[in-house]
Amino acid sequence: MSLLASLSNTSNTLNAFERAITVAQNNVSNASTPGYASQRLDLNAMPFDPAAGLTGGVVAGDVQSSRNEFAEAAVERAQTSLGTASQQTASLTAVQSALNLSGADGIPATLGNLFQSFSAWSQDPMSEASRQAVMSSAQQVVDSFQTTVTALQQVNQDTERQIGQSVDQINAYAQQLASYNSELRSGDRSDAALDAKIHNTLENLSQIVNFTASVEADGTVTVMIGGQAPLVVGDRQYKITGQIADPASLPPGNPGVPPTANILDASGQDITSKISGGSLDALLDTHNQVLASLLGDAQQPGDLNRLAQAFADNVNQLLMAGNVSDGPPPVTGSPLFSYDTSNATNTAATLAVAPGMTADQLAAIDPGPPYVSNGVAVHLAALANPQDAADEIDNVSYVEFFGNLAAGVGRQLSAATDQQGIQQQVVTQAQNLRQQISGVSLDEQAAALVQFQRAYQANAQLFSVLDSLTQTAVNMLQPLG
Amino acid sequence: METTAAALMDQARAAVEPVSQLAVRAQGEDLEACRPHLECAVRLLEAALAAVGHGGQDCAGLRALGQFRRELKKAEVLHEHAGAFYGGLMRVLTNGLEAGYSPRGAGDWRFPAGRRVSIQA
Repeated sequence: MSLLASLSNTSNTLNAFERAITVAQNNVSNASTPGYASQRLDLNAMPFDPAAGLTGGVVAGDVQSSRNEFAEAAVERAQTSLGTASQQTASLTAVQSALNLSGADGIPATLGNLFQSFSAWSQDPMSEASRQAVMSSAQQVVDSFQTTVTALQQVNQDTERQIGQSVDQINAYAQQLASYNSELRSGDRSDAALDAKIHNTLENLSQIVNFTASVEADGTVTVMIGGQAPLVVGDRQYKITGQIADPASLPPGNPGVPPTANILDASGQDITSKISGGSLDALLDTHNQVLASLLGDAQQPGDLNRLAQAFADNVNQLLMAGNVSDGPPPVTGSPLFSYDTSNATNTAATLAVAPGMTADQLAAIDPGPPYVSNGVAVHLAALANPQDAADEIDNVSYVEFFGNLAAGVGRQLSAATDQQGIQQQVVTQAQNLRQQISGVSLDEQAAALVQFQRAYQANAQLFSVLDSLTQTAVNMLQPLG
Repeated sequence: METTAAALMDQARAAVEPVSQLAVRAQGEDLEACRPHLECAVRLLEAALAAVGHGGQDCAGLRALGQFRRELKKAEVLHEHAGAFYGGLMRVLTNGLEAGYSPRGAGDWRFPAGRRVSIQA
C-alpha cells in the first residue's frame, strides 16, 4: 500500500469516525431531552485491494433516526385515553361532591327529615310545633335543592372555563407545530432537536384531544383532529374555537336552557362529534351529557328538575285536596311549594316554600270519603315508602330516584378511576417500549463498551496469531515459488 | 473436502470475510461474533501449514496465501478502526458516567453479566 493511499485511507476513516462520535455525543447530550430519539450513523466499508489502489477503510453514510412512528403513535393513543380518564375522574368527582348524597344537608337527608316531620304531624295534626317542624323541614328541602343546583352550576361553569383553556392550549400547540414545520422546510430535515420538539409537542397535544399525525414527503407533520378536521398542515395553523351555544339558537323545547358546548373548526364547522378522546372529550361529555342530564338542556328538563317538580306537585296536590278545618264552611289547604313554571330546566333552582304559606295553612284533614282527620298528613308521611304509582317517579320513591342519579354518577366515576389506573400503566408500557427503541441509555452504552473492549482484545490476539501463521506460510512457500 | 494447502487457505479466507462485515457494524455483539470466524481461520491456516510441510506446494498455494493476506489485512484495518472509534466514544461517555447519570434513575449503572446489549453511534 502506498503512503498516499494509506494517508487517504486514514483521512476517510478519521472523518467517518469523527462524525460517528459527534452523533454519539449528540445522543448522550440529549439522553434526557423530552421527545429525543437516538441517532445512528451508517458506516460503509470501502473496497480493499492494494493492487488496484483500493485502500479499504470506512466512510460515513447517512444519519438514521431510531424513531419508530408506531411506538410514537402507541404512546400518543395511550396518552389520549389517559387524558380522557383523568379528566373524567376529576370532573365526575366534582359532580358527585355537588350531589352531596350522604351529607346532612343533602337532598336525601332533607327529604327524609321532611317525611319524618309529616309523620310526627300526622300523629298530632293540630299541634303547632308539629306544623312548624313541617315548615322548617320544607325550607330545608328547598335549600338543599338550591344548594345542589348552585354547586352543579359551579361545576358547569368550571367545565366551560376548562373547555376554553383546552381549546387555547390546542391552538398554542398547533402554532408551535406550524412553526416547527416551517423550520423543517427551510432547514435540515434530519435536525434531531427539531424532531424531538415536534414529537414532544404531539405527545402533549395527545393528552388533550384525539388526532392523527402524518409525516409528509417534505418532512412536515400534518395534524387532523379526529382524523378529519385540519389543525396543522405544513406551516399553516387552522385555529379551532370553543363555543358555548346561545340558547336562543337551540330548538325551542326548554326556553332558557343551559347552553351546549361546541367546538368549531377554522371554517366554522361544528367538529364536536369528531372529538372522541383526550381531556377535551371528557370535558365536553361532562358538560353536554352528565351535567345536562341533571340540570337539563334543549331536549330535556334534567333529572334534578324532574325530581323537584314531581315532588313539589305531588305534595301540593295532596295538601290542596285536604282541609285545614271542617268549618263550616270548610277551609281548603294551600300549596306548600312554588317554582318557576315557565322554564322546566329552572324548577330545582327556583323551588321555594310558597310565598305567604304559614304553618296554620297546612291541611291535615282528608275530607274523603271516607273522612280521615289526619288523612293528608298520613299520606304525605307515606311518600317515604310509596305504595301508589302516583307517589313515585320512574317507579321509585323520590329518595330512591335521587339515589339512582347519584349512583349513576358514582358508577361512571368508579369506571373512570379504574380506567385511569389502567391507562396510566398502558402509557408507562408504551413509553418504555419507545424508550427501548428510540431512547438513549447511557448505562447500556457504557456496558456495551465493556463488552466491546473484551471482544476487541480477544480478536486482536487472534489477528496476531493469524499474522504469525501467515508469515510462517510465506516463509515455507516462498522457496517453492 | 479438499485438504490441499491452497484449498485450506481459500477456506481460511472465506472464514475471515464475515469479520470485515461485522467490524463495519462494530457493535459489541458484532465483535463477539468475529471470534468464531477468526478461530476457524486459525485452524484452517494451521491445517494449511501442515499440508505444505507434508507434500510441498506449488504456485496455487502462494496465490491463495496472497488472497488470504489481503482479506486478513482488510479485516484487521476495519477492526482497528472500530477500536479507535470506541476509544473516542469511551472518552465521550466518561463525563456522563462520572456524573452517575442514568435515564432510569440514579442507580448502579452496571448490570448483570450475560445481558444482551446494543450500542448505537
